[in-house]
Amino acid sequence: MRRGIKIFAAIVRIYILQLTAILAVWLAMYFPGLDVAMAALYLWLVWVEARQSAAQMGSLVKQAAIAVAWQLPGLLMGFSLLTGLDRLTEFAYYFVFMLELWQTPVLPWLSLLPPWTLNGWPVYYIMIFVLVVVLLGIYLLPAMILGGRRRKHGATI
Amino acid sequence: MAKTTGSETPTRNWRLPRILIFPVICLVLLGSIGLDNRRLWPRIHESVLFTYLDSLQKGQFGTGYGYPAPDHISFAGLEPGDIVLGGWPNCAYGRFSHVGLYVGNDQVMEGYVDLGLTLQDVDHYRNYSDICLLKVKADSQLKHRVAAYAMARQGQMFYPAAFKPGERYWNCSKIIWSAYLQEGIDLDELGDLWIAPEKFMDSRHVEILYEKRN
Repeated sequence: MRRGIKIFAAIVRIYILQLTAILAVWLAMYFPGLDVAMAALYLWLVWVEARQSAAQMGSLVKQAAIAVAWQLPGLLMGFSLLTGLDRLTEFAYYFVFMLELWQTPVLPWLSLLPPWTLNGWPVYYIMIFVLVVVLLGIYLLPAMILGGRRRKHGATI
Repeated sequence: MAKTTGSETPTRNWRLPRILIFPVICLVLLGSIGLDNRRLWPRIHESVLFTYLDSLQKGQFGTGYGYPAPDHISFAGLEPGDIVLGGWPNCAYGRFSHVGLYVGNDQVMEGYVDLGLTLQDVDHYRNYSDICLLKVKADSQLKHRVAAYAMARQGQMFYPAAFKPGERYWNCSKIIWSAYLQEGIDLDELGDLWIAPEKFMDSRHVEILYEKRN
């Protein structure tokens, strides 16, 4: 039970971080340059949050569950867009908007890319999908490092 | 006092402030943007933000939607630098959902999330339920420079809620507004934080060539 509450609390914390970062980075776009600083702050806070969660959970599976719950909106929208499931709804056009808005905290990095295209699609658009997985990886990394250290010292996780 | 490991104590001390960092930053930024736009306050009810909030109360959000209703409109009167507006019913930010900058050869410069700033055929504007063609009252050379400015930004990022400052985030209206501002023409009479497509109609720098209402 206590562990369940810990996982729930970690999910709530990372959602608060994500949602407030969306708003902060968007507002920071008004002051060009500040948005990039906010995006850096976001990544740092995600990393610190992931480290804390990894130390508390002590399990890669639980850390993965939190990471997936955190990026669930991105995963669902990305999957719907890639498979065409979005077109089964009346709001198909909004899926891509929502995915971009969900990824607002990392958009400043993508906005620094040259306007390259790949198979006719702008690289920034492709990266909106890719970054869902990258962010999952960033959140999982501390647990993987911690797990590796524990195995090295003969402990189990 | 409970015994804790060296690594736990500082982490716990950090917990509350860390989660409050972005909320506090949001408040500071909101205040800063508000102060920077205090000239707008007396006319805030004309802002696109108010239009959007009003629409949200009616359950409308986003670009609106409708079924293509092709119109036999002619685009022959357009010259590079002119503006093409298209609207769906229930658009949350005004009568027109979308806008493109005519660049010649039956093409418009416009913006979409999945394509960025992109050149498209002007023909697709025939499908909108509301259409308006605007002629910008400026000399032809200036308008060609405006078209060139917009075309030079092909492939750059589209962000629907892009603020006016900066040149890394664009939406379909901002690229047109920004291109004309480079030439000393401000197409936004209000000085809003964003520019909605329909606001181009209110500008004293344009005249209506054609208009179709739903």
